[in-house]
Amino acid sequence: MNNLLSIVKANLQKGKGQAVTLLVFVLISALLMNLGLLLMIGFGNFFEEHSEALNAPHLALLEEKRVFDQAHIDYLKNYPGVTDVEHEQTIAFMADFLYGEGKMPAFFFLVNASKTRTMNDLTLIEGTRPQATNDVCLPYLFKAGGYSIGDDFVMTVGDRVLTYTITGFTDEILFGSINNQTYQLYVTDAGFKSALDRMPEFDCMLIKARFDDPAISQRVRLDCINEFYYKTSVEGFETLYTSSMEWVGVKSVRTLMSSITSLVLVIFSALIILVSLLVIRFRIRNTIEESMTNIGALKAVGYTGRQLLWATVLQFCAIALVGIVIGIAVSYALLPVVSDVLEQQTSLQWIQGFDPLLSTLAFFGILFVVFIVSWATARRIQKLHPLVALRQGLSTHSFERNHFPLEKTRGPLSLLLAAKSAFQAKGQMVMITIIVTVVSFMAVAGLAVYDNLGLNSRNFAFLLAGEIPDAAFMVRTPEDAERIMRDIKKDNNVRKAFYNQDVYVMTNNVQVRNVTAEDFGLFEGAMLYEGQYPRHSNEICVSGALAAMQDLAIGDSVRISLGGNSADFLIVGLIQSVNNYGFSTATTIEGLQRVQASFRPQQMFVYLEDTENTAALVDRISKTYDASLESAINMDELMVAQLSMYGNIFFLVAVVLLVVTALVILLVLYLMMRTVILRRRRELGIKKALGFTTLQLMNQLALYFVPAIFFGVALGGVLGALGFNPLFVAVSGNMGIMSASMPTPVIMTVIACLTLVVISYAFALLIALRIRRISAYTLVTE
Amino acid sequence: MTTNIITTNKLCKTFSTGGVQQHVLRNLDLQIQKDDFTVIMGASGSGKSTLLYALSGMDSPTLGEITFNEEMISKKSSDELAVFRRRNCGFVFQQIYLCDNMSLMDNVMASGLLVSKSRKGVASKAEELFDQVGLSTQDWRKFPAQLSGGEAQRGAVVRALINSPSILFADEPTGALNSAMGLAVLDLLTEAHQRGQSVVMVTHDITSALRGSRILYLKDGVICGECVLGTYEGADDKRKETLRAFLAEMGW
Repeated sequence: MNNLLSIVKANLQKGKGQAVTLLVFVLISALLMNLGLLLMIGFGNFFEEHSEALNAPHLALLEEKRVFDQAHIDYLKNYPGVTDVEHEQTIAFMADFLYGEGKMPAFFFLVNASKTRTMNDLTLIEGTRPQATNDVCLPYLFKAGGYSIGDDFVMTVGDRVLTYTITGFTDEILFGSINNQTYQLYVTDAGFKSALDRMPEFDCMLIKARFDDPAISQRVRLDCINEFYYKTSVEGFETLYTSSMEWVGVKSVRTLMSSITSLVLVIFSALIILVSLLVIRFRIRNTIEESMTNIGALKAVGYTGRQLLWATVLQFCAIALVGIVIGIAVSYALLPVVSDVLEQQTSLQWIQGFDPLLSTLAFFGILFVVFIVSWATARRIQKLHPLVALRQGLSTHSFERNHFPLEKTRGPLSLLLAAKSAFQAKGQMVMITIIVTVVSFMAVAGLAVYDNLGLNSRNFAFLLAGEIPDAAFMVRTPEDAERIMRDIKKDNNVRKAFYNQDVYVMTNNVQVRNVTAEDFGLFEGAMLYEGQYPRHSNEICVSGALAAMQDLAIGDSVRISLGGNSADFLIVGLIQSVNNYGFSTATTIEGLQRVQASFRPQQMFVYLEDTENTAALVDRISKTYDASLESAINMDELMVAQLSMYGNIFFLVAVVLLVVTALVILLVLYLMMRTVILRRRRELGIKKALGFTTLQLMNQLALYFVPAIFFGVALGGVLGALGFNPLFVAVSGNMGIMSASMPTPVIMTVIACLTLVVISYAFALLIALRIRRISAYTLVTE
Repeated sequence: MTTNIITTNKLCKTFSTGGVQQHVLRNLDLQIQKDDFTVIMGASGSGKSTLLYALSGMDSPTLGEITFNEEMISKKSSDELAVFRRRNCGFVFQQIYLCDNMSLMDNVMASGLLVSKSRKGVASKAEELFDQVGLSTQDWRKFPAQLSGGEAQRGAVVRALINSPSILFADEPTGALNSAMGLAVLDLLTEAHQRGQSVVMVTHDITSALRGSRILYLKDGVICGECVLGTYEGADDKRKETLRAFLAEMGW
């Protein structure tokens, strides 16, 4: 064993630079793998554990005080699986406020901080409880939105302006995510009374419940809506639609970004591992070639093939082991940074300690594949006859074909010599091509992610939201809706306006979000991906996720239920949506009225000729119809505010992918060039002696790699350009996305690819500078 | 009247290893004459090869000057020396030093195309030279590993001659060959010299040295003796005796 270790030690000392390069590869793999796993599994678990730690409600229903009934509490208490129910008075209202770069509307619950509650009571992450009448504690997400303790927090409710001083940031599960736009604010007892005096019409009751199994939260919510609203048809329950929150849905949106990021990281780490394995294979093969005489000598003095095989395997596993340990350690060090970035979307202060299970998985997973590849590649040592090894393995050399014979082939001498070398090392070239293709694909995918999800994110927003107007108005009564719609349509700036409202219905015991629209022909998003939108009252579109789950297809019929009534529909198209886990349907208004005759839409989607005028329209409608409006949302502004958050995250993802790609290519080049220079030292010396200049030789070496890099980059670029869209759909299919139009930015891609080639060539020249040191004299006297 | 092709003036070469300086060539003043077959002899470590590579521009002197056809080469940069070598020098090494990833023809072409732009011209001259050294088409299409040592060294002579160099440098060209192969290579060098080619050869082999027209004996980095044998027309007894006497005088 000591002998083996001394061979390993000697080999490691001999090739320090290459060992370090390999170590970096393994380190990056382990880092990304551990981060990906921690995000994918650790973050999901963290949400659940944190939710339990706060005793967070699994359902929160909001009712206007005038329609609140103790019977509703009783209904919930008697609901199977419900473990705890509590309720409290709240002031619930829609208000505009500043967040990040723009103004945003959101739904606010003002609650009394002096009251105690069993579920997710006021828990400060930072600051102190409110003391003065105008003090407020906001959910932690507002900190990511640019607020600090001591800042003013201003909300505009119609004509009323509410100004508070921030004293603390709270830990919220249901009411703390930017995607849900529903926030709970804590004020003092005096502050609560003061606000109630100013806004008595917003006096509401917040009912919260916890269940044995939070997974039932969606069903309970829908049953409550059916029970309290549709069965009674009492006006005043609209808020139940817009503001009730359930745990499963909140978890889904609050872990969305971590899911996407972790997926990217895990895929990326798998690709880097693949690259590392190829490099390890290359290095072992070269080590065998370079150490051929040593192997022969060691075998001649009595070392067995098995001993030498294990020495090689041990050498590479030792490098991998160190790389993995450092990589995992670095991933934990980076976790707070990742957590900070994610915090913008998740609003959760994710503090992840060492996870022995996941890190052990990453550790042994990578070590195992390194071991297998090392062992499989190094097996050649066992078969090598000592005499053949002592003769530099000459019997294994094969120059069967002379590529580009110089007496016949036209072209610049350096290029021809480079091409000859490249063709003689086809294996290496194929390996470089594969590596460069893989990393270029990742780089192009990174650019596409940034371009589609960060820079020009409207397509992505359409995928997330289904249909995005310039402005959306929700009114209190159907009568108001008709009146306001007439006014909106008269506005010269308005391009089109139609009713469109999400209504939660049931089909085969599954809660489904039904997009209920006046005319789907007016839609601009990419919701429909097969068939056609419903035009008649008996037609319906179902989402791909729902169709897959219930084995539905175009031409089948499906039964929709709401408030105890139901009707059958003919499926005429397939739609996609990420909302409600991808379970959606779409019917015309008349269609939904076949299920719920009393249904009349109260939400309007408005599109303007010039989006510059959106704010003015929203302002005018808000002022004119203040009392009738439930909400008036400038969607353009909201998009800017919300998507800027995605932009930041995806910009980071793209930068990481591009930097790692460049790093991988450069490391591979470094490793290859070092090896080639070492192995062709003699040839380079001969050429120097014959009169080749250093620049000519540098060019030959650099050009030797360029075709493989160029081809790899081109292939990766083309694959990235063609494959990103299908890959995006495949990866996001479980989110409900079945079809997407995510074009790869052509100019950006071409520039990135050319840059990669140029950088690679320049870097190769830089490494080739080493040959300045090999003098012809040194060669002949060595 | 003979003209000098290479002249050295107080040529010094010092190597420094681990802080210890070793003066290999000491203030050498030397003239190599055009059309001569100069043989440099001496004991191991006397500085023969060092002198050869300094004269050929493969290495730069520590001090002193080297003039090649009245052009000072001792101050040239590494790349300038490379261009100088390709235009003026041919090399035959003991270890042959053919690029083993190229066919014999490619080895020759790679050297020829450094100087000439005419691919056909170089190829045609290479074929002619291969023919002269007794290598067939089948031979020059092979890779060095597929050739015998003698065949490879003959190929190396072709490579050395492809650019019609002003001077041919040979460093122990028969050192790695058996006697028959060695003689064949020596014949090639002799023929080249008889055709008017200047040759400088380093050897410690008397049989090889007999081919030279002028013998220089190097001892501790200094030329300590010179023997003129005249153009080789066969290894007659008188030639052998003259050389033996000279070497005996030198303490060989």
